[in-house]
Amino acid sequence: MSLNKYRIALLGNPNVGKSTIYNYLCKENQHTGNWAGKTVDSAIGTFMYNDNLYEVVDLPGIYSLNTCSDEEVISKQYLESKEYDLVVVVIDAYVIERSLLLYQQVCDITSNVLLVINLYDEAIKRGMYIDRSKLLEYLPYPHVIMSAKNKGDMEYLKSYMCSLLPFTSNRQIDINIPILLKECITQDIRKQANIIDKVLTHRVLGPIIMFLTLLTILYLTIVLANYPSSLLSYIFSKGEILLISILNMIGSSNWLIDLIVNYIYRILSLVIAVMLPPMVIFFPLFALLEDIGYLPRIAFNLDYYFQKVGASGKQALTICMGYGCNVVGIMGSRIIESQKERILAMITNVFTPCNGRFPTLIAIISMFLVSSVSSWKSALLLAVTLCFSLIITFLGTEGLRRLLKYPKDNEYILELTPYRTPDLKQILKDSLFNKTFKIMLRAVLVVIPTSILIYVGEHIIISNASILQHVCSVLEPIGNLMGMDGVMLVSFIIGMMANEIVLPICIMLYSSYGIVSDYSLVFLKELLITNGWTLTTALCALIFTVIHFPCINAVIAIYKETKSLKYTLLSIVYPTVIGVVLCVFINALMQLIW
Amino acid sequence: MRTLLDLKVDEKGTIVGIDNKCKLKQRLIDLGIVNGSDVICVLDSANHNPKAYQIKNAVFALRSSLSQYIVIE
Repeated sequence: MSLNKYRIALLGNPNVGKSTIYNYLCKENQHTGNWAGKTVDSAIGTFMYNDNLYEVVDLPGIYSLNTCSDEEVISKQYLESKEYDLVVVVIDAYVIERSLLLYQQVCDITSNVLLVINLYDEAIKRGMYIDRSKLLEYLPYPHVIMSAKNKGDMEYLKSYMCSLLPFTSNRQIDINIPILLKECITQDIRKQANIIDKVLTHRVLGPIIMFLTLLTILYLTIVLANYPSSLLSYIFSKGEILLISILNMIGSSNWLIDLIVNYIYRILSLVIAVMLPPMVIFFPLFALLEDIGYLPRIAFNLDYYFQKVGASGKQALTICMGYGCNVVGIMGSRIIESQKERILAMITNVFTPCNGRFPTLIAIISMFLVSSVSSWKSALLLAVTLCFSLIITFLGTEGLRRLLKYPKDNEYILELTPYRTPDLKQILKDSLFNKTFKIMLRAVLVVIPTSILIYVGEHIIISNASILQHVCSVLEPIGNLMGMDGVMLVSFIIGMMANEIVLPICIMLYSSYGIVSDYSLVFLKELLITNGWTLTTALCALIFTVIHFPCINAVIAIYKETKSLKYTLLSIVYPTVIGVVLCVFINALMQLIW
Repeated sequence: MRTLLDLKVDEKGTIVGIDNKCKLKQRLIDLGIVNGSDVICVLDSANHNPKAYQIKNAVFALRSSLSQYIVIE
């Protein structure tokens, strides 16, 4: 039997269930978001059907092929390349009118088109009805009316799609949209924004609800992360003793035991025990907010302030992406139409503490800034820290705009997409399994080479001190001025590899020549205090964690997106300067009042 | 001449023109915001800027700087 290979491209407006279809077809887990432009890069997956191989390309969500934004350019170029056998245009049944415009534009480029009218169930609920037999008459081209949530519909789509290939008809698609709409669609116009929207965007209630939502998420993250965290630190501290005895038993040399136990194992266990649990727990909670469709309302509430600093209101969305990962926030800035606003959004995205920095913030807050163990107080302080980071983002954007002499360019449109029922199974699968696995893999990949580097740095002795000690002592005065020390600055610099290793490396450097008996925060706090940490140190570390140079991946992403050395350098220097100045100021202030 | 800016929450209008000064005119057209479309103001924010409008089943947040260009009847 001969195996044929076909390529299918998925195209459509943002938030029409394209990614849901893609996930179903390819069974590959790709995150679906509820706002414009979540698919930051086109994803590619494959599936087998009736002994044929199908490759599916998930193009970014776009509104038209008129090439206003970069994502539209990408999609248009792809369509014109004709490197596909079928284009599947996915549309939301409820906004069929404007969606058909996109369909028509695609048909101008190719005739190999399948139109998928999705989300029909939701459209029916909102009083819309499509006459299927009439539609066949006015749209005599391949099309499917369906709901991606329905498994039967999806199976039908799959078989229908595959039956179209190889695509035989070459006839030009020609439809008359106004007549089609008039003849096939009946609906009663209802007001979309309901009481929920009114409350969520209310001038007083809106911000309060935003803050309470944030607080609740952070509280749940802190509380829920405690259990796996204490279990993991127990396991790892027992494991250290076991590991040493195993290494001794097989007769490893002392330097190898030192390297493996005191460096690799120690940093790795700190990353996994202290950093991993909050990362894994925060993610599904935030993804839930995203899937429900709350984020565009946040963007709406905050938009006035974004206008004030001359930023795009869509920056609220890229900031939200940044809480997950700054690289995603930087790439996601493509949804911003204006090139200048995009650059502002990309460079200031680093002021948003990413998932890799959250655990550091949580650890510092719960060790030094709350007296008793109170998750509510920690959550509140963390929420305050996030508000602080938001304010810094606003001010930082304004400052950067003035520095680059960009004019205020205020035109902008944001679709407030309807609320959708979140797919809990997908979110949990995505975050608890894929995310955990990815973070673990990254931790291992980063920690092993960094540990070896640190080991080498600590063991090459030049004039009575190791290289690392020399570096630390050079940085010590700057660190002191910033309320911290040389070791911490070194940790931040090495942490460019990945933000989640900053605190583990710092702790490891402090504890080089002793056995870490456990990895609980109580023990770590004692260790830090022994090494001279005070309230001021904690405060400055907190600030510098929020405001410092981006990690290496973010720098690469900025370079890829801007193709400009100037902006890439600026993205490193700008936040660093602000962070250093602010730390020096806070340190001086604390010395005065303390 | 009335523009989208003049609509208060729950007020309705019909779009009769988009000023050429509007840089995002093409984008508005792509979104189905064209002459003859009915529009309802559905949400307002603390500073009356932005406001959200329902046009052809979809809800859009527009800033004053943009909605001033959209002429209604």
